[in-house]
Amino acid sequence: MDPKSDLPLQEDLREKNKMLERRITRERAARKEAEGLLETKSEALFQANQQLSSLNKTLERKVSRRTETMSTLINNLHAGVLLNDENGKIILINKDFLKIFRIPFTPTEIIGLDQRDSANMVKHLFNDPSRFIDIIDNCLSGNTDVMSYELVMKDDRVVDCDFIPVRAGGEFVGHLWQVRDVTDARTIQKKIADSEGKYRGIIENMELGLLEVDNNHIIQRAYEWFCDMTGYTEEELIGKNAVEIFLVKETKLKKAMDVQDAKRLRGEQSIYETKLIKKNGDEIWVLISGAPFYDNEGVIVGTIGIHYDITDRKNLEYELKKAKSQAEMSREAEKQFLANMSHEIRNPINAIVGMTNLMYDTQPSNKQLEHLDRIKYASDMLMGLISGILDISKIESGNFELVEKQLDIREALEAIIEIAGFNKQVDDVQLRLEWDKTIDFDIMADPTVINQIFLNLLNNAVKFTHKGEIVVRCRLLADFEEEANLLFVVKDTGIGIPQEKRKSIFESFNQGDKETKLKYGGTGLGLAIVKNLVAKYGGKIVVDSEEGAGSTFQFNLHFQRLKKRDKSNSKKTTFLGSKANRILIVEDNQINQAYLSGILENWNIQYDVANHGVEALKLLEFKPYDLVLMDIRMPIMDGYETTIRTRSNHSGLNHTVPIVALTASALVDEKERALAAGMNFHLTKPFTPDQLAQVFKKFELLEEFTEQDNVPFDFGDALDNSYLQDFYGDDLDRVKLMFSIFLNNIATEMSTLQEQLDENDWLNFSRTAHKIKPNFAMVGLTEISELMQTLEGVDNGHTSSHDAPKVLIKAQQLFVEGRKNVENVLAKIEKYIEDELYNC
Amino acid sequence: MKGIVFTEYLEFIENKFGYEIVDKLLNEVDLPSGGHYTAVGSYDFSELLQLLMKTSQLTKAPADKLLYGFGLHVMPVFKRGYPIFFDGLTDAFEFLETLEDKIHPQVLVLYPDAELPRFDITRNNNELIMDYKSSRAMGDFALGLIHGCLEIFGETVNVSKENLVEDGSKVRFTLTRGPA
Repeated sequence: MDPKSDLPLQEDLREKNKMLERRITRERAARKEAEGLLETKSEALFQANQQLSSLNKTLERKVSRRTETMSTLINNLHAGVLLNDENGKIILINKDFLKIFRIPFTPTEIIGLDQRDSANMVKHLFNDPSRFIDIIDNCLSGNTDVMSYELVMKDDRVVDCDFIPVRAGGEFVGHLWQVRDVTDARTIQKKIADSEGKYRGIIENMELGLLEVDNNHIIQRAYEWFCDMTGYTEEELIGKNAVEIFLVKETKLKKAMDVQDAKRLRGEQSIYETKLIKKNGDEIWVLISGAPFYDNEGVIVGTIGIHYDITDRKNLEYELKKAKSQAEMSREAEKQFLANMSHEIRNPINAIVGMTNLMYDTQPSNKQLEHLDRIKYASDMLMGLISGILDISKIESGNFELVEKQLDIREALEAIIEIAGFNKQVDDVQLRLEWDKTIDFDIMADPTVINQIFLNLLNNAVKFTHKGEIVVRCRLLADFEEEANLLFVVKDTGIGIPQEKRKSIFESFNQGDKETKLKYGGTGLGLAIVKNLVAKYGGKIVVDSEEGAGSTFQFNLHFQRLKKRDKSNSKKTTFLGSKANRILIVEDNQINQAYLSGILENWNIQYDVANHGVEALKLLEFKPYDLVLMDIRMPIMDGYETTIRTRSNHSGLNHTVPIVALTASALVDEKERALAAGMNFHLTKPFTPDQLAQVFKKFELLEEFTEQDNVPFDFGDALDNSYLQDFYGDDLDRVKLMFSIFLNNIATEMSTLQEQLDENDWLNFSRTAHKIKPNFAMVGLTEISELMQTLEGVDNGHTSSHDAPKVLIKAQQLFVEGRKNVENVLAKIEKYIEDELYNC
Repeated sequence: MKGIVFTEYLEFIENKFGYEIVDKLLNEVDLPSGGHYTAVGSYDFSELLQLLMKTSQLTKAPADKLLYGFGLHVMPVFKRGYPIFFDGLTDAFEFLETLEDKIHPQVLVLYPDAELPRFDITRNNNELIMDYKSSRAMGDFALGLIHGCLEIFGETVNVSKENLVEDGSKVRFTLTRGPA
């Protein structure tokens, strides 16, 4: 081997060797580094492993807890649950599932089985096993939800099934079965349906038509009877507007329906009547009970109406109304007849009674007085009979009005007993009053009623008592200060009343018996009137009787009580003057005319007489009147028309004159008609002068002076004290007024008188004297007033004109003094009034 | 940077130029790690750049060509190491499309600290546009990988490379399949 040629080769080899050594060193270093890294990594891996294993344990615990929770949940779920995997293997089942299907295994025994196999095991439990198997197959092969599938089992139980395919991560992994035993719910539903059917049946059988509409009247449901009632089928009605179809186009009914709608929206129910149109166009009346109905949220969604056909009832109602109105018309005619009768009979009696009253004032001889008493008695009796008939009809028709005034009941009873005594046919019977002295007050009562009650009872007693006595007993039952209850007894020793008749004697036209009627006469109205009148005063009447021994009527009356009036004063009523200048009497009956004019003359009141309305209107046209006394029934023109014409003549002199109706009828109707025609008051004929005076006072046309308990004002001696006291009473305001007027005017009048004297103008002189004569009287200068009367007579020759100047001078002398006195008294009065005011 | 890149780079250089060049590189380049790389370690990226520059200097081969060749070399290595990423795939486009969705996420699972380039991939039938984005500007390495991938699937596809920015940190690769 050539060493030279070997040398570079050796060198090259040595180099290569060195490079390989370096490479080995590098590779070893790399290996070492890699081993180090691996060791680090493996350590990290170990740590990670440890962590993983602990995490795994935690997770396992969590999973086990969750599984436990889930299985508890599933087991306690009130539903059967079964889960099968995608291959149909059962992987979960709970106890309820087994219970519902009556499967005699535990869940552990079932899990792992094939769903189809187990279905075959239980199919015999179902009504239709092959259908059950089909359903299971369908569900297992299908991937869609099947909800609320109902399976009926052989033992009638109903099971509700849900089959839900389960997907995980978009992949089908099995089915969840949920089953519920809904037998109870189905039973309840069936019961509800049965019950609804039952009640619907009842309602339909009750002939009640039901209709359901929404809030816009759109028909939702129409029940059979409603359809029968209206002639439509349910199909024809559903979706239609009930108002448009059925409601009669009457504004009144439409409005009524609007009211009902508003009520329904407020949740109110109500019953109303309306008219409906049937399909064939006929109209029927229905009674509707409407009530709102609500959805599940409690919102009103419509109305249910129960309709009851009342067409027949309505027709009957109409017939009844017609009959009622006819009956009312007949009654009205009857009333008219009674009023007419009353007029026809009472007018002449009024005349007789009235004229008799006037005759008493004509100083009749004893013989004449006796005749007058007889006339009065007879006419009173006749009047009583007529009044009885009228009263009973009045009371029974409810048209009876009490006209009350202060009454001394004892005095009234004494008078009645006296009157009843006139009817005695035998002297063996004594009438007497037994009075309870504790009754020391007056009462407010209608004297006519009191008279009627006691006269009826006493007349009966007198009629049926032939010997013995008739006692009227009065006793205070209860005193309430303002009111009092009095017990009255009318006891006789007459023939008595048979037991069986005691109740019926208080009925109209019912007497003891026919024999009684034949023997004793009478209308049979008396006790009926008494019973009614007693009731008017809150009382009750009873009768006790023993045949042949007598009867006792006992009753109580309830009155308002008043302080007793001082009789000595009340009797001394004097009419000192009338403010009325002229009264118009409108009356066709000459006797009534005479009666009225007689009274007015007594009172010094001027009057005119018209025989009927036309004459009256002529007078009313030209003369002003203070009062018109107007008869109602007259020829040519009656009182109503005359009044209406007077009132409607607005520019007439007597447009507002007070008009008093003089009615012969006591019916309330007639009075009301008079007031309606424009009359101010009414007076039933016959009336006493006193009653007429009350009317005049009412219109302030008559001054009544009654001595009062209080001390009158002392005008002093300078003026005519007693005259002034009589004239003014205690009306000091009027005194003040009159005195002032006198002082203002009288000086002028006196100078006028002087001037007329100077000019010898006797006519006017006389007139002036006449005119101012009462002025002096009114201020109590009576002497001057008398002088004026003397001067007044100059014109007609009663007084010589020669004497006139002397008389006038005397008057003027007195006037100077008198005027001062008047001034003084006026000042005194003014001070007195002021003090009185101050004291108040 | 993952150690496998360094070990494969030295493998590639040894295959291409012999161990002498590898020996020179390791002797002459002052590497902080000492150069004894292992596939399971991690080394600084700058060491790769140092090695690349030195290689280019020693062999007179341009750096971009070296990177391209390295990419071409690495692809079959990947195929051998991670055949799972190639399972069921029939062509290169399919594989490349899985890059961002499958491969890179898996890499990150194994190496949470790996710094990976980003690819935005758009496919239009026979055209695949891959927009590369990496601060390391290793577009040529990527080109090598793409070609390596085409070789694996035995496909001929026209690949064009276009720098979107000058420094090469954004590059667009357009792969166009010719008519069949």
